[in-house]
Amino acid sequence: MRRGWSHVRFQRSRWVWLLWLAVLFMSGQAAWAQDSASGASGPYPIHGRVLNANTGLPVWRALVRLNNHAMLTGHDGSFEFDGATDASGTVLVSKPGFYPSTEWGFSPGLSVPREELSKPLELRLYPEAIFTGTVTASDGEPLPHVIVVARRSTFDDRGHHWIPVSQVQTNAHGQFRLPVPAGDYRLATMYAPRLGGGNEAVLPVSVPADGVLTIKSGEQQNFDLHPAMGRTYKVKATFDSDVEGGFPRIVARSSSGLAIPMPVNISRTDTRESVRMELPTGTYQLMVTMLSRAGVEQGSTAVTVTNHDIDDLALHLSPVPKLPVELLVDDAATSDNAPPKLQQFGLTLENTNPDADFFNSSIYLATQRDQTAEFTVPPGTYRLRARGSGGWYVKSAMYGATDLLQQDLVIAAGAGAAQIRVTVSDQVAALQGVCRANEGPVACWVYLVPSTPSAEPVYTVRSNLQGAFNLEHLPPGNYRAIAFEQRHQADYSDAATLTPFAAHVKTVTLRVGEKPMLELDAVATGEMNR
Amino acid sequence: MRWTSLLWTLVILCVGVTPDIAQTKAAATAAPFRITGVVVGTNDGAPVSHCHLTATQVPRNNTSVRQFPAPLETFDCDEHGRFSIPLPSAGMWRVTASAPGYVTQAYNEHEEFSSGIVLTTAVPTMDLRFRIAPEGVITGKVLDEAGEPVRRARVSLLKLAAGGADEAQPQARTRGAATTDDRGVYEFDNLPPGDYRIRVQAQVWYAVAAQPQRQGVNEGSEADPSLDVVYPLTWYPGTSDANEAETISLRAGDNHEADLQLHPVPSMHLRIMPSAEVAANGRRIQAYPMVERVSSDGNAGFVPVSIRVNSQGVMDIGGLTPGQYEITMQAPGERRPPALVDVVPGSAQVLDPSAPSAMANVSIQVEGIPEPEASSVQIGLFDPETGRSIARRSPAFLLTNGVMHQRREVNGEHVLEVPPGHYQVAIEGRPDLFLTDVTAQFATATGKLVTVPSGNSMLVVHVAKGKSSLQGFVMHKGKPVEGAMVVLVPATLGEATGINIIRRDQSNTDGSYDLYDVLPGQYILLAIDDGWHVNWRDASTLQRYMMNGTPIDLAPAANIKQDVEAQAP
Repeated sequence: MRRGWSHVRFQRSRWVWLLWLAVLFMSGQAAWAQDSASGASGPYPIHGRVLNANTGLPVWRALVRLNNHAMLTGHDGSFEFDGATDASGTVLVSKPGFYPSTEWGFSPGLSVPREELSKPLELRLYPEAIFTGTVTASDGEPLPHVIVVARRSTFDDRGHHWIPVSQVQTNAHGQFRLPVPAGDYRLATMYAPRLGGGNEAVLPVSVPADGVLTIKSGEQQNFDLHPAMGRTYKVKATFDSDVEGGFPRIVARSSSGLAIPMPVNISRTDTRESVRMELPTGTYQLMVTMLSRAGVEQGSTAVTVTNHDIDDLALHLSPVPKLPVELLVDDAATSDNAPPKLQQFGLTLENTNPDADFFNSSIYLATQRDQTAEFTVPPGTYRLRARGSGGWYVKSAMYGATDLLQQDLVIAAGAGAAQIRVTVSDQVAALQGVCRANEGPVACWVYLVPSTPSAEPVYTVRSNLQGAFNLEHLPPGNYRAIAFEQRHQADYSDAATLTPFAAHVKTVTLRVGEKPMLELDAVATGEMNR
Repeated sequence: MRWTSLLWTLVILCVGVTPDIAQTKAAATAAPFRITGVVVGTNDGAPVSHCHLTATQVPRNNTSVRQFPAPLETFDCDEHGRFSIPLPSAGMWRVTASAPGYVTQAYNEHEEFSSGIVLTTAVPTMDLRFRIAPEGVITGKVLDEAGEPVRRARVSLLKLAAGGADEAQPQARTRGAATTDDRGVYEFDNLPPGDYRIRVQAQVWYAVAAQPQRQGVNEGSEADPSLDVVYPLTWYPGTSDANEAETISLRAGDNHEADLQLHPVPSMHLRIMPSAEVAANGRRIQAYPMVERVSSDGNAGFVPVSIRVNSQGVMDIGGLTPGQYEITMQAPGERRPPALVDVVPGSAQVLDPSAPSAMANVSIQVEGIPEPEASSVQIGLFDPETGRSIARRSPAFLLTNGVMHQRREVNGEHVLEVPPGHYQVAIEGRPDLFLTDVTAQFATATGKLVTVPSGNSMLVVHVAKGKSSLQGFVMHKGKPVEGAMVVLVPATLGEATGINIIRRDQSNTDGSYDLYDVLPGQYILLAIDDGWHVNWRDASTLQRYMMNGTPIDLAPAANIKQDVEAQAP
């Protein structure tokens, strides 16, 4: 009986592959295009071609949308909107199996003025990448119906995230296919108890165990996953307190460091709730997080599974420590700015060692009815993240004597909770500049990485089409700045990230009230992908 | 032993009934009861290694709700397919076997029947030759009109029910659902032999209705007709007419390829007139439609549609294929009763939410048993042609076309809102009750068949308790026969009124059979040795066996013991 498993699965929209993302396009570069457009005036059809960005070959049956017009490209990748005389427009192109950008989550909407629309448009589509492979037992037997997930490693202004991008079950031959956008990934199999109706479980395995797999647009990479198998036994654990209506999440951490999110079956007898799960032989620390009416509670217990079922395991939960957060305004702040509120700074605690499924990677600030704010923080190690807002920035954050802009927040089990004091200031600096490539100004993405302690790992801004950019409300301090012709999300808190582009990096010191001018030599698209 | 009709009871009760595993195990080592045997493939008779078995005790009593214990733990067989299952007690046990590459099956399984293994103190052990069939696989590729793969197409596998006369609602049952991958490929594995059909529902990826819209509504221009297209619901090998669907007959171990190509057709449109409702502040309440397709097997699915609103507030819903839809207008903080709309080619469909409903409002009363039990009986209205469930009355909610609605009561009576028409009335979920008659006000009723007009009508459903049971042994020349098909044929079979339901069972290892919850009446009981390929639905075939059958007169609430002689198939 598998009814009642509270197995959390990722709900993937049917339309993920149809994510509509806008397209950067190069205009008027192809010689064929210039001929057809020269000397034209008045209302002329909007036309162009869609090309495979990797091969340069035309892409047929791509859907091109311009404002309210839409059409499919012909065999030569061409499109033409006859009656369209729009003054400006947003061009979108899509086709299953292609992405309009190599970057994840590229924001839609690039407005194109009429004079640009009059030129032939050259739109590029990037073929998706694909992970293929098999899941087999140690004896080579294929394992059908095992869930394989591709998680993408991404970075943004708030830090690092693992995003489940694609998930599939192996077929009858143990094979899987996971189409993904190009990027950095880990492949993992999910814990699968009672495989094929038997007593064996497929244990999770991650490829690679550390680091990431980098896959490029159009590339296919094949992996044979060999998860460990284990004979499972039923384990019943009963809570020693009334947790009616709660929803437990259990992760079993093995002595070898394996973390298995447990599918659990909740039942209630008399006044006690118990959970049933199937654990392979071994010694585990069961980490239980319960979300109930009482709030978040947590507990852990050790269990050793040998060769029989266990039905007398006790679980004790304790409330998870709450860390109140207090907002202080720096003495030097000017009084003519609107007084800030804690909530506007988007404070989060980023878990430096999230569990296998990354459910606990970020903790958000919660505001109570009395307008006080607090973090509910299970034991662990965290990094404070915040963003500037309304002309204010986080100047310092202290937890006791710990400077949270420079040190991790470590919460030990059973430790008392102290207050986090966040000091904000509106004594800000600014930066302006322009991006250049070989021949002149170029549209770019600018990344400004603080060298002085900061709650934000990077400040990102996109230039206009002429390469000009502008950043306001920056904390004063020292920065390294770099520009890329395309969006380039990476772990900017790691100094090594910019090493390959050292020739393009500039350092800048920003002082309160000043707005220096910075000229950046943008990293070309070709150099980015090397 | 009949299993499927009781499965739901089992599923529901398993949650609450969990035996103490440790105790069971302690008892097992001491007890002499044991089932041993070897699992072999039906194809080559060779032992199946890597197999697993479960054993579940089957209660044998005629209470209205039978409680099934949860299965014991899983037992593995050795590399020669041999197994040994220690059991805590005598009784009838249902044993299932599974193995990679084979279909999970109960012992001696035929259709929804299998033989229970009966252990007694006199016969405490039994050695079985347990045959399981290699799995069948149906796989295929879904391509679009240009020969390119269709991704994320929803492929349904329907198994044609062996049922018919012994099923209250005969129909093809959805056996599984799959989604095509980046190559348009789908796969259904672990299939038992049987007759299957494949149905595909997919979006035209480039169609207007498939594109994301701001707040779900586009205002303004007409869609390009070449992009205002949909794929009709398509049956293998490529027809939108369910009657032309090809049946795939899968034998044990078959690997069948079923490729389909989808061809777009112009999208149908439905116009919804603006609602006259006005909020307290005088503004018109903008309601948005939720569109669900009503499919033949009762599985409603949400349909992504394009919605445009013109300046008069008339809503144009595109992206529809011909078929029946349920439209629910939703406004902030309220959910209105749904409307059923038949979208047919060649006519402009208009839905006016303000117009008086043409639906039939049928209130249903149950008589014959005391309250409050009478109100708790679930009554369903079925399409008499297809057996499809149209609506049902239950104590907690109303279902119309598989969509759950809040209970609506008018003067304490439950009201079903259905299209006017012809329906069959049936009791659901209460095998101990039987329907004796239906009487109607402002509607007509003949037996269990009713015709309800637009507007209000009332049905009084007369029910009675006292279903009977029939038990016994299938014998041949004085010896019990295992695995025989037991058939109970009503004497009134084929007549317009009277019982028309044929009941069946399979004899267990000791030759015993059980038929519970049988409608009182006159029957012919017969048993056919190894008769599972006999076309019992064919009246003339059945007639041949009935001549040697045993007449049975079942009084209400009777429990009759009757042995039956097995006939040659």
